[in-house]
Amino acid sequence: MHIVTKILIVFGAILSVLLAALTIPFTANAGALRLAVANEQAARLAAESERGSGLALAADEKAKLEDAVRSAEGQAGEAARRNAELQNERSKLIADVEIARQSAQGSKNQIDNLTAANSANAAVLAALQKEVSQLRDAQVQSSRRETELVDRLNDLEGQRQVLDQNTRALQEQLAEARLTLEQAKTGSTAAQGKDQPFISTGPLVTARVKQLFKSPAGDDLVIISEGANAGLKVNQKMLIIRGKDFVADLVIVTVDQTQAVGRIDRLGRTVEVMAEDLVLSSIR
Amino acid sequence: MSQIGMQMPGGGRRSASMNIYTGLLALAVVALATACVFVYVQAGKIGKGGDPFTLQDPKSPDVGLAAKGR
Repeated sequence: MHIVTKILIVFGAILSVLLAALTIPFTANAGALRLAVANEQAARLAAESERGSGLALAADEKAKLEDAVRSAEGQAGEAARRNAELQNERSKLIADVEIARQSAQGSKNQIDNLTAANSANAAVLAALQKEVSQLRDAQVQSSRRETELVDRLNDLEGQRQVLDQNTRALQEQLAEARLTLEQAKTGSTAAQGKDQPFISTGPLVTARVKQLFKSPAGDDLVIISEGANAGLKVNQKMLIIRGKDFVADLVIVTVDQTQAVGRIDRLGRTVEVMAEDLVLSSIR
Repeated sequence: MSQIGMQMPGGGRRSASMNIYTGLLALAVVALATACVFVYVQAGKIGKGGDPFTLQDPKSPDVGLAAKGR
């Protein structure tokens, strides 16, 4: 065999062994790597499936969150609208508060003015009370003075009435004396006309008809407001006047101190005597 | 070989010469060398620590991809 052949055979053997040595771990490592790759692929698949389920959950969660977001946006919009309304209401309330504050200030000013006016009125009232007290004292004094004057007046009135009665009595006496003198001149007696109605020649007596009534005999009787204090006498004839018109004659039948009763003589006329008609003792 | 040569009639020792088999053997050696080179390179890629003769742990093989910036 050629030496080259031998060398080649040796090299071939060495290279064969070397190749075998390289091939064995190579194949083992390739198997290990293949197993690792398979595990990685399984893990990747599991991760992908987990990722898919996670994505589904995430999608559901996202949908829920989107619904929540929409709901929150709706609530936010509602809250914004409510906020705007509350802002407007707040503005109105602030304006109302300002108006109320101004009104309160105005009321306070009015109160102050009224207080000042009240103080002034109190001072005026005190002055008026003082004046009223003074006037009351003056009135008391005036009343006292008036009472004294009224007493004095009553006394003088009484004296006057007494004097009037004396005067009337004197006048009647004078009239009777004149009548007696005339009768003496004419030859008639005074006793003949004593029961006949007569017209007084004394001072004028004025009275008013107070009440009308009928006597049991059917005569029309009246009560007048004067009596013996005015000098009226029984059978004295008086005249009943209404305005400027003559109504009827009145003959005194009964005389009291302050009133008298008379019988109406209509003189054949159809007239009616009324209350408050004027009664005169004579026409002058 | 020499025994085979010695048993041939005419009994004379002849010198060895290269023939076709030498060529085929050379070709085989070249192929083997080439294969060794290729297997060496690839085994180095998948060997533990870059060593083509080291076995990987089947549960946690390490081919140094992170070190290479994968």
